[in-house]
Amino acid sequence: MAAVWQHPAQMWNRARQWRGLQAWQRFWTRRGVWWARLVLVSAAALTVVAAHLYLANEAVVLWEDIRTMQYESWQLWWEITTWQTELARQRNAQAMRQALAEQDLRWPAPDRVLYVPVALPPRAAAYAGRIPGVWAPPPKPEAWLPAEYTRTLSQWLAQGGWQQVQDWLGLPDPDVYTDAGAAGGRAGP
Amino acid sequence: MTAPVRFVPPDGGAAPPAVTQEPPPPARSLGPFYALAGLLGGLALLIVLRLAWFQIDPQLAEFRRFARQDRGYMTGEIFPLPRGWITDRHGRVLAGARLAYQLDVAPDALRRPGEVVAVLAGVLEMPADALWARLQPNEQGQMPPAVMLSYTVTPRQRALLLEWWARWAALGDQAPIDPARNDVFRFTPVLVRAYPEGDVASNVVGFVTLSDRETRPMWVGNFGVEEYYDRLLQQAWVTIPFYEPYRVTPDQVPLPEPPSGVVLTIDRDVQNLVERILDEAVEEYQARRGVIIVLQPKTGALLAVAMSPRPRLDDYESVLQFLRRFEGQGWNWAVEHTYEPGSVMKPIMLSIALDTGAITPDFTYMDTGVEYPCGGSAPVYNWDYAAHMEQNIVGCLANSLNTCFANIAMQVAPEDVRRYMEAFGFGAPTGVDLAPERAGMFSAATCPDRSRLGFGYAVSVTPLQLAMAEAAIANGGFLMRPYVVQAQLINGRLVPTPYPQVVRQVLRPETAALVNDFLARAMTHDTYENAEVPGYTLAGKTGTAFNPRDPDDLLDATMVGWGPVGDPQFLVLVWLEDPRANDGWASLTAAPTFRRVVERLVVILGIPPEGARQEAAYQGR
Repeated sequence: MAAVWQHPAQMWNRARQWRGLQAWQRFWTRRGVWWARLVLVSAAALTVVAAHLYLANEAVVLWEDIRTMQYESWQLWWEITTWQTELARQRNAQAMRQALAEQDLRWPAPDRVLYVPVALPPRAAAYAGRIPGVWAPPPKPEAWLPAEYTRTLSQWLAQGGWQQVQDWLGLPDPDVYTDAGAAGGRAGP
Repeated sequence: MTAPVRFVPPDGGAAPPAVTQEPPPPARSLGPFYALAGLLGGLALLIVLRLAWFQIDPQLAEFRRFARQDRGYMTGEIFPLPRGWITDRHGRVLAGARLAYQLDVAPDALRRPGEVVAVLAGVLEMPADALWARLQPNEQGQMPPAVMLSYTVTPRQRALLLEWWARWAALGDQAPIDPARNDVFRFTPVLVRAYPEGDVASNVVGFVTLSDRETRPMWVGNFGVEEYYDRLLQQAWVTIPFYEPYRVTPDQVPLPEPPSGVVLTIDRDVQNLVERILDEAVEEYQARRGVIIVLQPKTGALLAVAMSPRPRLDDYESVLQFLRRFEGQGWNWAVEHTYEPGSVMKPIMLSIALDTGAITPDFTYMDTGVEYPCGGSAPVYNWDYAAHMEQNIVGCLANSLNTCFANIAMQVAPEDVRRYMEAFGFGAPTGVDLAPERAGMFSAATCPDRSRLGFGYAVSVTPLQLAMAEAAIANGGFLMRPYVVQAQLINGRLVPTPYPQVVRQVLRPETAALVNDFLARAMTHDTYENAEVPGYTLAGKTGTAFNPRDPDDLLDATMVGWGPVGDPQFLVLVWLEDPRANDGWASLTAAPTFRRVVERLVVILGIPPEGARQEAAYQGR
């Protein structure tokens, strides 16, 4: 007898009837779990909303702080402006004149001023004509590459590479003299 | 009829095998799961309750009201920027700003306005009746929501008023104001003009008045730099947005910047010095008023423009008195007063005649004491009505012979007189950056006018016009445009103004050098002994002008001079109106004043005397 065509859903239902549900699937069919899932998803959504509200509130508060500081900076600027003008008022020409009079300073006549002639260089020394320009040599790689890329191993060792290895390994430096042994291992006098 | 589809088992209808059914697993406990769900559900409930609380919390009522309102109404706060500063060439402040407050009062918040007005009048030092009138309803019987009472409330007055307000609010029902209102007084910060130097350069700086715009009062410049550069110096406001934190980043909010402004060529010390010398001269020679101009002939930069008497800019009453006393005569007479200068115009006519070739440098004149340039109708006499016999050009200048210069003027072609006078800038404003400026006029139309032009009549000039024309002789023949602002401060950067400017070349350099030479030699004459400064070679000319046919015309004593000749560093013009002492002669009034200015100016400007300059020249310069 030929096989009859079946809808996949029919096949699925048939298989379910045949094999039954697994244990983990059966758990989610329980009624209380459905309610719990609803509550869980709602709570998660509300938590996300709350986090956003919290951050927004923080932003507003910070904005208010920024604005307050800006307002204070403007106020300070106005005060600076005012004080600069006040400073100019206290140092105006009349005040300077009074200060001069108090110190008994007088205005010098031209014949009381000593003008000292300053020796000027001779005209010929000022400009000696054109001189040919000299190109600088092109830079060697050492000028722009770190030394690690240009030196050989022997050069590195000669330039203190072995000392560097000792530092990495934490070996004691034989060149450094310590007096710990002479003091009997105790610190202090 | 179709047969129903019969279910065919996959194994072809055989009996299903026996399946051994497993026993169901024991049900797991849901306790922890419910506990977690309950906890999260409780948290969610708390959040919902909190959101509900936002809707009824009295502390957040303002936010809710704002949320319901039109948001465009409260989008920003307006902060003032000061009107641009004016400093002298060394950065010393001539016009600055200080913090004040605009006071707005809400009339409907006053229960007993009389008491409030009495306090306001005492604190603000304003007449009580004027304050009372401001707080009355208008013609339609409407009361405005807020009335501006003052624009210049000082921080101290503000503190006093806030103290009064707090005291009244504590009275409760007995208070003369509505204690529940928070807008009885509203103080808005503003920056008002301040002139720390008082009367120094007040005629150059000008002053500001408050415009009568009700919505946002502004300072408007009057006269001088304040008026000429009003657009640049204009007070401004910035709007700082608020309540819209997501639309504006803090970087977009403008922070205070250095105020804009202008830097003058005026040197405060030179200005102050010259003003004091002028004050003393006006008093000593019993003059009505006077002007001294100090400028650099090579550039046209004004170092000092002094005037006496002059107002104090830090005292508004003084400004009003000055304007009342000299009503209709302008603010800065250096650019607004025109007069017939007299003999100081002789170097001008001499240079015209030499430049056109009408006379040669070896010109001589036989002075008989009277000259008839246009026949018998218009005789010209000398200042002393004397005959000086044969004179060369230096003699004509030294003795200031009107006859000689009337003769010289008649030798120049009429068209050349007009052309050169226009080229020297007479009859046209100089274009200095001070407002306002008068042009003056001259006439070369008739023969008597042309002859009088030779000795400084038939022409009206402003002191600055005259100084610039003489500076053209001093600097080698170039008419410069005078200027008083050397740089503008924009966004904290100095932007130089497009000066110095050459208006035109008036004379050939050799002509200018000749005239300088003649004037310097004439300055050694006894007539100019009051103007001499030992050690310096100066060129200059005095002029005493008086028109006896015009009873309103006052005597004008003028002296203009510059030095050192050949390398002019300064030009000084002294004008005294109607000096009574020494018969008003310029050689006895303006010339000594000129000397007092110059002998201090050379020290300030560091110009060494002739001997030191020659020593320096010998060292191979």
